[in-house]
Amino acid sequence: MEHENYKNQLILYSYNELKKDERNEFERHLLGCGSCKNELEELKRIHQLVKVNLVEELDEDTLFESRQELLADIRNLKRKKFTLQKIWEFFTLPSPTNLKIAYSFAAVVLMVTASYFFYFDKAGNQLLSGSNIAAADSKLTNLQFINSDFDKGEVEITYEQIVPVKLKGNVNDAEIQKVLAKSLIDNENPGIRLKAVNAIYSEKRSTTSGVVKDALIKAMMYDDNPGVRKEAMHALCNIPFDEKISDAMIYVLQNDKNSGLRIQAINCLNEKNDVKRLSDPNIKNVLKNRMQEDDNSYIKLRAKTMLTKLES
Amino acid sequence: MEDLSSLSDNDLIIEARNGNDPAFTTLVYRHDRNVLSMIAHYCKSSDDAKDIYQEVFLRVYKGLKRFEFRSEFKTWLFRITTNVCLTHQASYRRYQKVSISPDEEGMNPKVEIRSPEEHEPDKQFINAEMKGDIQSAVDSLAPKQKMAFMLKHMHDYKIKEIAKMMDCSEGTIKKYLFIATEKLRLKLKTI
Repeated sequence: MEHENYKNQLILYSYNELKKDERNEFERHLLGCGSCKNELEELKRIHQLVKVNLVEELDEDTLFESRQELLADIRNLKRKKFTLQKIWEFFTLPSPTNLKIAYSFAAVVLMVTASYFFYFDKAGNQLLSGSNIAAADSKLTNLQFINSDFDKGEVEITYEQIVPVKLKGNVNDAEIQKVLAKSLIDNENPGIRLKAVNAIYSEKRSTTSGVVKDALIKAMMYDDNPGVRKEAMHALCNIPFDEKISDAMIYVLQNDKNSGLRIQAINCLNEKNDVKRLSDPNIKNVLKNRMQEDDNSYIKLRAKTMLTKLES
Repeated sequence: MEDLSSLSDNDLIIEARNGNDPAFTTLVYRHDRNVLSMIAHYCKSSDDAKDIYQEVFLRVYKGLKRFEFRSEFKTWLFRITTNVCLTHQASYRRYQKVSISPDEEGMNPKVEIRSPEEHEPDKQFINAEMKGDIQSAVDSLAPKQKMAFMLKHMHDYKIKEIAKMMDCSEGTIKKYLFIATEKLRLKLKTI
């Protein structure tokens, strides 16, 4: 075989990808060819250089977050699929019950449409007359003049009207819960956000609306103020535990910079003792990670105890 | 309760197809470290890595019903990963402003390699700089050459396996490896 052909085999030889007879023949050639020997050494050096320098430690945080996001995406996908399936079945499998529901649905749609037009008609009149502006203790913002002709004395304006609202009722009322949940997320004043959490949990209740739970989870995970995060966590610890809450607790345990909150999260997880959920390999990884890397020795110890308990 | 971790990939797929979610999770957790480490060579930020990870495993989840067991699950998974990485890199390059040198494929950015004499005498700095040079040299390869090269060097796959993952012939993979090695040899000569 020509020297050039052997040169072409160099790379395959270095990868151990030659057949046995080709390999033997190449090794015989190597014994007498200094140029191929040198090239092979150079090739090995390059491969080694790349291998040693490009090996990167797997980023455990990225892995953990990717897994969490994937599981959430799959849950959403299943939920969407389930809803679509139900809708499809509803239309494709007619039954007396389905027909009743269909008629009721149509009636509701009609009523909503009628009320919509009724409301808009009213709203339009109100806008034209401006009757409630002076009376209400309201504040006008973003006022803009459009297509106005001052010479003729005609004006057309748009504005946003902020009206103070007084709401009185039980903290369990859906409307009040919505307002409290919104202020817990949107209000700029941490004092108000704290009050919102405290108001939501001023008394024990067996059920909690989804809006309130979501707001508490968001506050616990992302609020800038550790006090708000702490109170939100306390509230979440006192409502029926589910997957969403435990995922959020795990997030805090893994990511919160405040060790007090991490301690509270691990205590809450321990207290709930949801063995099935905690046996998730992903959660075990977080506990292992905390056991090894947390700078707080109490959390290390707690994580270790929980892992031992889960593995026994 | 059945210990899912003792099941083979194919058994887990069958379980997952029947709606057993923990089986799918076990399957993902069994392979996702390799997938993520492969992705890490293809993107610079952990956000991009997470996006690619999601895309890969959502494709797997949606395509599981069509998996025909003609190849190993791992090969199929890595084929999806290589496709998503290559697509991602193509779109990344489209929006990246890089200096392009007119080499044979017309799309490889120029890599400036400094000679050892130019380096500072601080060992840590030299190591970091050398690592950077090597990374730039590898990044300058055309996407498919880089993919074949990384699968061979960082993951030790056989040429035959890489061909299946990248859905092309063994001859093509050999060609990619020859070209990649040759380019790196030239670029890393001074290191």
